[in-house]
Amino acid sequence: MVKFRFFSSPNNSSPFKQLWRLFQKNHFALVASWVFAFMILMAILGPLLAPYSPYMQQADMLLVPPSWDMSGHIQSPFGTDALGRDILSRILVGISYSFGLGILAVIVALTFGLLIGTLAGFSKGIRASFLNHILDIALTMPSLLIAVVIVAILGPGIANAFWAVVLAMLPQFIHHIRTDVADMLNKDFVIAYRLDGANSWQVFRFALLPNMIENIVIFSTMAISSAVLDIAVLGFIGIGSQSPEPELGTMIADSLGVFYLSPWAVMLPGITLFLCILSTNIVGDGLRHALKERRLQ
Amino acid sequence: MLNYFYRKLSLLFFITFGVTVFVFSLNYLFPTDVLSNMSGITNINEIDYDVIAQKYNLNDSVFTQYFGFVGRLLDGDWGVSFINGTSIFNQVFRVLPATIELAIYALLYSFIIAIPLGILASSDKHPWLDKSILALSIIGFSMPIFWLALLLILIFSIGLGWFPTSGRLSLIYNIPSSSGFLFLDILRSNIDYKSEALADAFKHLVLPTFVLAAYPTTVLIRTTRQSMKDVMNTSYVKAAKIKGLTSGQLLRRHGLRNGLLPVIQMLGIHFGTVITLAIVTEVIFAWPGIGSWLVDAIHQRDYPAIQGGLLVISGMVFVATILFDLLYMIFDPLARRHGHGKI
Amino acid sequence: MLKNNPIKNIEHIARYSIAALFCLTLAACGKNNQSELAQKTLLYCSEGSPETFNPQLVTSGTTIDAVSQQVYNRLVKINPKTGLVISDLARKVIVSEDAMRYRFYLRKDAEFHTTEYFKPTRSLTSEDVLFSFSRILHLDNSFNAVGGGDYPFFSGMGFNTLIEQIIVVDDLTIEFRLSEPQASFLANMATDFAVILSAEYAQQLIKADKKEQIDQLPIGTGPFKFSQYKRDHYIRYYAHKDYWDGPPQLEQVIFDITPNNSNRVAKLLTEECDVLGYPSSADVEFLKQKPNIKLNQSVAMNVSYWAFNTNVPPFDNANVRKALSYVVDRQAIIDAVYFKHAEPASTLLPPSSWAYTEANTEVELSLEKAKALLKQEGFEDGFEMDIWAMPVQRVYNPNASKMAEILQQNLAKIGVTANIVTYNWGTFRKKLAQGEHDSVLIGWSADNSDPDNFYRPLLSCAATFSGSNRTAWCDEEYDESIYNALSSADPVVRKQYYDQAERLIFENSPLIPIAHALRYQVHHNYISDVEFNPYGGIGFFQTKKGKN
Repeated sequence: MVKFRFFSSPNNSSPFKQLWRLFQKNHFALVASWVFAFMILMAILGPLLAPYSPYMQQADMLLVPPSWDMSGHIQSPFGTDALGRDILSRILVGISYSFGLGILAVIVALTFGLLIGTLAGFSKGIRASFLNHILDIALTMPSLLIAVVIVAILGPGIANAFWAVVLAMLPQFIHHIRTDVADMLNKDFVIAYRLDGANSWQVFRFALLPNMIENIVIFSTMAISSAVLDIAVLGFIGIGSQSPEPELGTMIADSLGVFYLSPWAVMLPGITLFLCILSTNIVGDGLRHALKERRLQ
Repeated sequence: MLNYFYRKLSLLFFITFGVTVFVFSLNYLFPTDVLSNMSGITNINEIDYDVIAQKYNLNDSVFTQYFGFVGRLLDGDWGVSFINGTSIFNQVFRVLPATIELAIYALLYSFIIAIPLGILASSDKHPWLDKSILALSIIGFSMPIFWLALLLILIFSIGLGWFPTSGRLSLIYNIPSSSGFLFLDILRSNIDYKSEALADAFKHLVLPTFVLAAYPTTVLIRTTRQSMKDVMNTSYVKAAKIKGLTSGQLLRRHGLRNGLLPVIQMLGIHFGTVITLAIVTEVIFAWPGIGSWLVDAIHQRDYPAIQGGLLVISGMVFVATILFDLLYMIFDPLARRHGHGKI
Repeated sequence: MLKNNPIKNIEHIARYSIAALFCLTLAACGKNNQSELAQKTLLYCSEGSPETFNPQLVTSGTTIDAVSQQVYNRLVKINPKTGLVISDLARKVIVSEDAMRYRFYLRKDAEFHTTEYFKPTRSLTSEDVLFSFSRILHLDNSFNAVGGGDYPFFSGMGFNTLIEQIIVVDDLTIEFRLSEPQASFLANMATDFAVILSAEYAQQLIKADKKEQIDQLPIGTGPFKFSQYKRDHYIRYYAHKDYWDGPPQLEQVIFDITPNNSNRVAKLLTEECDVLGYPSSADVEFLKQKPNIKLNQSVAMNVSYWAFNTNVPPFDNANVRKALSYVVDRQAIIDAVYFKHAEPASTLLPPSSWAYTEANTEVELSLEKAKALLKQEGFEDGFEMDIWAMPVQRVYNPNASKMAEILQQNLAKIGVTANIVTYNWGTFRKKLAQGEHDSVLIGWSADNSDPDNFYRPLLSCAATFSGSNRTAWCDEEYDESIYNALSSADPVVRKQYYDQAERLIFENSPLIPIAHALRYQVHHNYISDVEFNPYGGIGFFQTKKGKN
């Protein structure tokens, strides 16, 4: 935005620090990043913090409303579902199922994506063009549809849904990393480094990776939101995680039967899921903006 | 131009090949017997097995099997369902129009809403408007679609009783299905409660369309906003401005045409996502389209039906993507230059 | 006028389009669904697809609901209010002195449905009645094997041996000759299974070589004629204008097949359905609070019970069984398992049956008595036993495992350790029939109003072999009293015999009745005169729809 700088001082802080400073300027993004960090914490600690087992049924405490309701109990702050299971415990474990697995799926897909994408970026000729075509086809298919196909082959279940989401995201990662690598390989500094006698591994490790890492982080953040959503959707339509597993989408589907009796059994997991995805999206957006601004500077 | 067209056509051919190979390989990937997957006949006894295996070239090489498979696809012999033994081909094309209808209305709706909003947001004059539209769009983008649907049902159907919760048309109206597109069918039928049926069909359409449109709308708002900003910052627009064109002329002559180009491209890219989201929407609203049909098939492990459904859905996505691409190319001559068989 | 401000322009467009959308929406909403067609159409949300359109072939309530009362008539029917047998297609029935010959005089104006696939040339005659029952009875009937050749209700009541001969006296008179006197015969003929098909339609199908069509595109004399059926989606019936009892009030009856419980309730709330069968226990409480919805409750003809395998010690000892009967906390079970939607059962027979006698037996919850009895029999240290809980949900027992857990708690207090056992339904029934159980929680739903439908299948000696007697209890005195009751036509006499049978059950406790579940039907207030039959299907012949 700022076109002329009368007093421009050279910025000597590291690029990451600059990025973080720019990112902090956006208050929304900052708050979102706290929520995001909190959710990650819950994804790790949730199962330990849960006051009850997410599977424990209490026959004498069916559909207890949340504690802020007149008839709620203090021992289950978010109330219980139709089988008397504590909703708070289920949500806490559910975060690690939906959100945790989503992040894990992105990490796995990223690892494979880096490997295949880099190899593809280095390769040329027929092999590259063949891969291009396959990738192009795979990229046209939305990830959720690919996930549905894979679940259809593997059969329902949380583990299968997880792998389906990983595989469905893989083409995007490969494509992204391959383009980055191919672009970068033509840059002068990489060519210079090569001429210095660096082998492919060194080129990748010391020239490419440091320059790609920011892009990768931003892309991965966006991928997390779609991975979480995909896992939840698969659970919701009943072809991913199966009840009684406390996956958020599955929980919502489970509680549909008592929808009008106890809306909170549907609303609370939904809000949690929404917060996970929203915070991820805002963080991703904020990072992208910050990066753009830093480059402008 | 022709060259470009030709390239796209050859790409289409390649994709068709890829998809059919994939669907054919599903016969082997699914856990049930290969012959059952192909024919849709469960529990084949030993005597029949040879006869049927002969028909499906099961004893020949995989290539012969594949070509036999493609031949049967072309003949409309897609096997029969494990569950009810009826032809998959007929089933698929009976439910497909409902999905297309829903997707088209949702896209239209998002077009109508998103483009004006996107242009509004792109203007520098109302920064608060820009902010709130953006905030709205990111919320819409993050809202799990099934949850949004449930909220809407809770508020508008059960709470206020404005809209029905499921289906395409009240069962009261007996509309003979000819084209499968409901509004067309109602208009073409000779029933004496046409307007009533139309109103009812519209009522059924409101919630699913809104839910399905949520995602493309948010994407379109952001795309439109960004590209309008870019276009308005280009030197040719600035030059035109200096020449004295009014803002209205500017918008009509340069802004819209160039600013909406990426929108067309966006539509192409996101059509597949819309179809996938349509699957979820259909499940929630019991919309009798191919999505809910496919999910049912997955639940019941009806493998021939899953194959048919996947074939049609992926085929539809690819064809639509290429069509949007062609459309984009017609509007944007620049795109023709670097179109090396990419979709 | 707005030329120089593109943003304004767009704003206007946006505003107009949103306004236009809003108006359209409002127009659609504002238009009340009060058209003539909607007024004459009844939408019933049913819980599943029928297996066939011929009730003779099934025992499932879903099929009975969907088909019996709409498409067909029976010779006689049961008045849903009084439970007595009244006339239907037969305007008069004359029973011989020895209760072995039943002569039915048919109506002469009962017309069959005219549809696209069948145009009747004559109205109902004895021929049709003969065909309907000969399809079940005679293996050489060309339709006997069509649709599987299995007629579960009729084979269950021993129809084949009971009917000696069916004689066509004249066009409108038909006589059934029984091999032995049986008082429940008329009640059985009044069930929703004993429907009358068209012999003329059957002839047409034989010619066209489409015999199986008789069960798929049904023709009957009922108030509604079949129009369309889409599996798992809907069934559409149109009014049968020439119905012998006058044309129905409704033009259309549509069964909207919605297996999901909450979807059904949602549809009811949004008036996508007018009537709803079988709401879940949890929903009943919710629906009760809705002012525009009417909830009908009836004590269905059913019972859930705890049966002991009397072949296995220590359950061969009547006093041990008696002792265990003292630990059943009926109130706790009704609260937790039925969500209060049941009545405690002290007898096998539900209170709504005409043969029920109040205070016949007195059940109580008394752990002291149980302990004392066990001590007397030498089981002061208790013992270990299995309780089998049926794995499926039924109206009469929505959650057998939960019920078993409640029993388990009380049993522990008298020193008896109970293990809860369950298998999948198929295995469960098989193992049960082989008598591998100690005790089982199961239930029974009656097909007709006759009390015999409870006593004979559940506890008679004959039923120990056919399998519906889960106790293996075989008592001569009991058998004698229920057969005596069966051979008499006088209700007063029969009631005495059944009282005696009930006392024998109480004294010997081969099984312990637990609850009679209530059955619910829900409909909007603007619907009136829906016929809910405690023994079977739902009927819409006189149903009126009017938002008053």
